[in-house]
Amino acid sequence: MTNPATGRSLGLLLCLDCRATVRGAKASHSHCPRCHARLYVRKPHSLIVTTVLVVCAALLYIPANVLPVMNTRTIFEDERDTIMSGVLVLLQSGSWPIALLVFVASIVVPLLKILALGVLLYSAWRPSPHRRLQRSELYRMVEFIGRWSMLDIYAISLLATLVQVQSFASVIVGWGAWAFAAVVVLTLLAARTFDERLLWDTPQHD
Amino acid sequence: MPVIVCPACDLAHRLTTAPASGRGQCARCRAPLQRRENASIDTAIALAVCALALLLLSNAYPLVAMQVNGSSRDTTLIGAAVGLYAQGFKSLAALVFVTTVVAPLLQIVSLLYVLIPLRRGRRAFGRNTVLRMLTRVRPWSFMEVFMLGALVALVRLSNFAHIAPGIALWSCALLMLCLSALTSITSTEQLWRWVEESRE
Amino acid sequence: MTEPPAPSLDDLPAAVPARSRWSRLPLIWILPAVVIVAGAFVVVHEKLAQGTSIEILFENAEDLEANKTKIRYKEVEIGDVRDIHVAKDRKEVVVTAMIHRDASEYLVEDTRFWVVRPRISAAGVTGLGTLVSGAYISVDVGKSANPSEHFVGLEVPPIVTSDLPGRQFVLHADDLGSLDIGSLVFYRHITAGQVVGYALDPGGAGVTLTIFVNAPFDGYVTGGTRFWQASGIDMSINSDGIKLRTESLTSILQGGVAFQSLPGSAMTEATRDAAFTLYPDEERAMRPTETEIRTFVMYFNGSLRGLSPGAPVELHGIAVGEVKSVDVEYDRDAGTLRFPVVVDMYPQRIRGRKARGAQPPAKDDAQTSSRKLVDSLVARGLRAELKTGNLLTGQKYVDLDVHADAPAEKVWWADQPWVFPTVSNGLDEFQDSMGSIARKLNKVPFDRISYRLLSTMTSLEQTLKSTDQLMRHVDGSLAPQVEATLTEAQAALKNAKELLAQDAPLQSDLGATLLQLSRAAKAVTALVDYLERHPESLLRGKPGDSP
Repeated sequence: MTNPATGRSLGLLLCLDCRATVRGAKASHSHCPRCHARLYVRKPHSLIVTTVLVVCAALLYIPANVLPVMNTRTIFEDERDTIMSGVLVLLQSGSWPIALLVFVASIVVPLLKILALGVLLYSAWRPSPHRRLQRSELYRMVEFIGRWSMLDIYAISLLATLVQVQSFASVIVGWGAWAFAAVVVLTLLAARTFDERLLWDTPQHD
Repeated sequence: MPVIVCPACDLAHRLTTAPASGRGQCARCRAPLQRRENASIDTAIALAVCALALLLLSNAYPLVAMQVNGSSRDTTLIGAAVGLYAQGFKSLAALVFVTTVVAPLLQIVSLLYVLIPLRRGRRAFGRNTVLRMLTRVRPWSFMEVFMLGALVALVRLSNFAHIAPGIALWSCALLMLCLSALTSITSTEQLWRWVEESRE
Repeated sequence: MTEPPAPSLDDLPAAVPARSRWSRLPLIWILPAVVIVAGAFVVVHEKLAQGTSIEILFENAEDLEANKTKIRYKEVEIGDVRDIHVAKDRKEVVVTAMIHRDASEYLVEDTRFWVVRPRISAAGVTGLGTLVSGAYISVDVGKSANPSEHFVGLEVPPIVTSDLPGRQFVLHADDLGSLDIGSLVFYRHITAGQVVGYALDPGGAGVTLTIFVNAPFDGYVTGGTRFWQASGIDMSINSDGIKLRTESLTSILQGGVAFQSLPGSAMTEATRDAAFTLYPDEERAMRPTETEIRTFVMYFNGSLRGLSPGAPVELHGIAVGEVKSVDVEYDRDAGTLRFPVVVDMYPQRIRGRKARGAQPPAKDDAQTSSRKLVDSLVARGLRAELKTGNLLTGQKYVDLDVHADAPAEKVWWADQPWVFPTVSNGLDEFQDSMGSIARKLNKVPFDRISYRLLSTMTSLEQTLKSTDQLMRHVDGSLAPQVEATLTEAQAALKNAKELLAQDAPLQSDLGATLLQLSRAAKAVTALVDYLERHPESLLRGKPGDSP
């Protein structure tokens, strides 16, 4: 068949909160019979909101990696660490698996997310019938790995709380950490606001 | 007419019984559609109680104690967030606090709030709201990410100090397992199915 | 035969599902049950292992931090500070601490707490490690049997801790000298303990010191032990000469106390807190106590300058007594001043040799027999004489010796105190005779002698001149041998004349020599006079006892 039967074409709505399939009413606002949540055909303003979020995340990615994340002060030195230099420190101290983990989670993943979301957004703005499956899978991957970038934030919070030994060493959190957390949160939100069904919507809609 | 719509690509499908093993996928985009879920409410409640006890333990006792140069310091889970707050990063502290304490707590409490009356065939007050909130809050519970982050922190600390894991570290690990088990058996569809089953 | 019809399936009863309450509880509930039990176990264990909460009062909370400062006993952590707040009366600070359960037995009444931080004291610099690790509270566990949870912290670390083996003693002294808390106690120049405290006696008449002597030295403190101030440099100038004594460099700087037991004294160890006298120096401390003392008085001619109380009375160099006092007395009858010197003699030191097998005399007899002994010695010439013990210091002492040529005298047993016969000082006599020689020399008229000699020489010269003229007259008439002889004689006389001329060297030498001799005689007289008046002038310095 040339036009597969979509929910939209059949007038069926999917409740986002309880996953119930509901027959759509004609009124502009309708509620789910099961859970009384508001029903939408597609997530409201999905493209615009997601685009804004992704752009912000991309902008914040620069300071997140340039500004120091952690400032380790000992009686001998005052060491400022960015995410990258933290990875190198871990490498030098011999624990390369951890270094690899932090590298992947804190540098690769956010970048990947931003790029992936960018690709998805592009194909949502200008839909093309090719490779939709791969794009869906890309979205699923973005959703899955999103949360793991947070691990560096948790590590920093523990270090900053524990290493407060006066006259020996103290760790002070830098603004790079804030920017990095912002990137993670923004990309998480972007993944949530993005309606993946937009990838499959054909330009002509019914 | 039993029809379900794929949440990923909006393709309509006929509702059939889910396959015995594995999950049913969307015909077009291979998104997971259906799964055979036959867990009992009791299991969910038991796991939730378990998780609650573990959560309380995880917050009451220190996660890890660090000894360097004769002085020692330790911190609890909440203490890690407080540490960030003390350095002036209020929003960061709030983020850590929400994702490691508030979200799991809300998840557990709201489940218990709905399921315990449900088991007896009663409807909890504001059940719909609570269930909707649960669906929105659950993705923000990052216990397993926290455990990995704690591991990274321990490795960095062990380079210059002596690290002694505290009680909360073990209970957090168990909590992580408990929560993931809980999340898998109390999927949104399952919860609403329980709701519908108990009505009848 | 008809059989009952086979029951159809519809007639069969259906199984009734069992609706037991317990079947509704699946195995899954074991999991939370286990978790809850384990959690409860952990909570209870933590609560039980929690330990005791105590309160310590300090003057201020310097270097103390809540939830951070540790409490250590023998450097082992036994607790930490939980809370610090100011007391209600605002005079001190209440430090609340949690002590580990297994250290709770240390919390007795006399357990002491103090803060260890870098300190500079007489004992040196302590607690430097705390600059890096942070201050901590140290504990000295007490010996009491009563538990306590409220303590008053010490502001200064204690000198001795309860578990240090040793004993405490009490010393009484006139003044503190250069001692202080922390001053060392020495035994045979080895550091044996410390001064732990001192206080002014009630009434202000003296000072009481508390010292702590470490084991094993505390075993050497017996009933016969003497303590003295070994502070600084001990210099004494007396008739024995000058003595210089120090204990150690530390004691020079800080002061110290030394002790030793008298030889032949009791060997039983002194009990804790036994009291002793603190003597000013070793000399006085180690003087054996005399049980028998006999007091005599002696009258000496000559100057008593240089004789001070404490000077020894010696018999052939052995100290048998001590000068107690030197006074002035006005004798009304004779109208003169007298100088009685009161002397304590220790007859124990003069022991009579008994023949073997002889019985020691009974007590009354002993006194009589000792008097008899003294009488017999005095009859043989035993006298007391003032002698200069040390020419440098001019210190004098009383010397008992047998003078065979001394005039007969007796001990006056009737007077109180007994009067002992004396003789004059030999040196005085020597001074007298030197003086008389000098005076005699002074009387010799050296001027006139030299003048006489001169005139004699002059006349002799004239005689020689005339003889010379006579010879010339005879010159022509006598034979040439006579002339030769006369010439020789003439030459000889000429030599003699030269020698004896007025300005001849010999005459002027002789004159000068006689003049010098006269001057010397005058100088010696002056010297002898001066020496008579100031015998110690060769060494200007105060005669007297050690500082």
